Amino acid sequence: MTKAVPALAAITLLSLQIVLGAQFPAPRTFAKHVLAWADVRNGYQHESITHALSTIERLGWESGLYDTIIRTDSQPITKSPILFKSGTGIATGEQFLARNLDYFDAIFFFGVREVDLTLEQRADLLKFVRDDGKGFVATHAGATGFFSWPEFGEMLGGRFDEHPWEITNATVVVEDSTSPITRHLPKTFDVIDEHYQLKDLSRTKLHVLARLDASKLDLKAPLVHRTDGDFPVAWTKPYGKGRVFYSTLGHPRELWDTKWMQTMYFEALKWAMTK
Amino acid sequence: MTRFRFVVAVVALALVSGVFPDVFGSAHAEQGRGGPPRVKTRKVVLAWADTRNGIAQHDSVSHALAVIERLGYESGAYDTYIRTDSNIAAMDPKRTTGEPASGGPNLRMADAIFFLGHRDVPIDEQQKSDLLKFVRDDGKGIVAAHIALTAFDSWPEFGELLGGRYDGHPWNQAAGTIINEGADFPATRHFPATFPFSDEFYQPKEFSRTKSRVLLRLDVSKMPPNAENHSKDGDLPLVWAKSYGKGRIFYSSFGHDASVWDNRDIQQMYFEAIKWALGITEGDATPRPFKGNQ
Repeated sequence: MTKAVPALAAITLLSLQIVLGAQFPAPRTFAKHVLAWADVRNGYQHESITHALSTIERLGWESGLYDTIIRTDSQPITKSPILFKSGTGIATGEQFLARNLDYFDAIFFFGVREVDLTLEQRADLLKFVRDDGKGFVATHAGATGFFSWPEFGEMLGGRFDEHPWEITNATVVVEDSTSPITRHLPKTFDVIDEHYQLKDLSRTKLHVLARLDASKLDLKAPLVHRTDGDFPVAWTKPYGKGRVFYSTLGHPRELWDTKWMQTMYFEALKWAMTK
Repeated sequence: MTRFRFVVAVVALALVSGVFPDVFGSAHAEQGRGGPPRVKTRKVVLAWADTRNGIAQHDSVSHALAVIERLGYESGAYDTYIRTDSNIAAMDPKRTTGEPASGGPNLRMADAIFFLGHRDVPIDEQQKSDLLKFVRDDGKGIVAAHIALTAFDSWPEFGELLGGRYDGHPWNQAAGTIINEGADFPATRHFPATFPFSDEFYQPKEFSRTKSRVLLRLDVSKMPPNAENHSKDGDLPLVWAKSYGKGRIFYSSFGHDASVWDNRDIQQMYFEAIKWALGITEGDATPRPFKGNQ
């Protein structure tokens, strides 16, 4: 009898907790997962970066297509289990409930300059796209990333080579009106942005979706290095089994509020996550 | 000649004592790329969530950060910098190489921190001192949410600043009844006197009603008995406000699941808390004793 009372109390308690627990809504689940990664520690933190990250998050959240983990550190860039560094705190060698690259279907990249990755992390990032067939969608300053790492330029398809016109109005010419990423755009349209000049790019490796109208640009500006007048603003390309998208557009914070821009990056992520 | 020397001395003194901070400020900013920095026209909130040392990193953190950014962006009340690294949490941020950062945000230009850090956030002694100075001496604010209560376990002064420490979540995710003690406070005046709410309620320890004003508490009498519930008098604060030196601190336990951040009442609570921490609004954080379940 004395033993039965606590046992009965425990059962009652347990069932009560189950009943209460049942009122709690199950967390939303998403079929796809995006890592919105913008390690800005070694470069200039553009004002638009935070707004871009939260816009990408909202597009996934509201559409239900994907959920997003936002990181400005680079801890998730690994295919190894994420372990507690010894001496950093509570536990040592313990595996976190932490997401590594294997969890994600695509990366949205707005990192700047020399992002601090170990050689193993670099190798895993390439594997993520090339071997795992995942997506890599990069924007604006993403093309300034990892200058000291040639293979990253190879994966992305081009490198930042100054913004000779600073922030200016330019005309964008859409080259592919059938791609889901650009089909909502008019044939030509004007955008005020910090337009980039890219180098180390080859049209044999890229599918250019849109470029700047060079006839309307000041090609005598001091930092203009291209002599062919080819200034792509958006492209897709394969990298191994994976899909890569890059667009120069994204410097002004308010540009991320435009429907056409949101559609472009949302569709790019969708495309990049298509197996 | 003596007059020339005097002028030189005055200019030198002015430079050393930083009488011309704008000169240094703009020179520093020009190190950065991406054009001249925007003139600061709004309050600046650093949404800081370093979770790298967290054993249970919450997926909801990103949604919380994005919601906080949107509330500031759409209202125009503040601009947000989201960071999940901690280099930013310094008066003079550094790169990963130890060199000075290339312009960008820092604790000098931030007006408040929205904090969702987890466990032992890796910052150095200088950063810890900067962070305390940010609140205590510069009169800035910190709004901390949910897992932030687990942060900096090995740093006693942080517990002092925040007003409490993490002592588990006895009921895990559960439905509860919340008692509103802050009907006059901007962050809690939209809640009724009591209301039902479901979340993973954190239990604080090292909490004192002589130092913090409790705004919302859990009605422990309505919860199933639980051996991990350490509140002897039935007091379990979930949301509180306090001062720390010249600065303002707000903590709320709410926000475990991402969907909590879509709750309009919760959004309003955090938005109003940030406005209060920024000094945009006033609210009485005077501590008051627990009066029991009356």
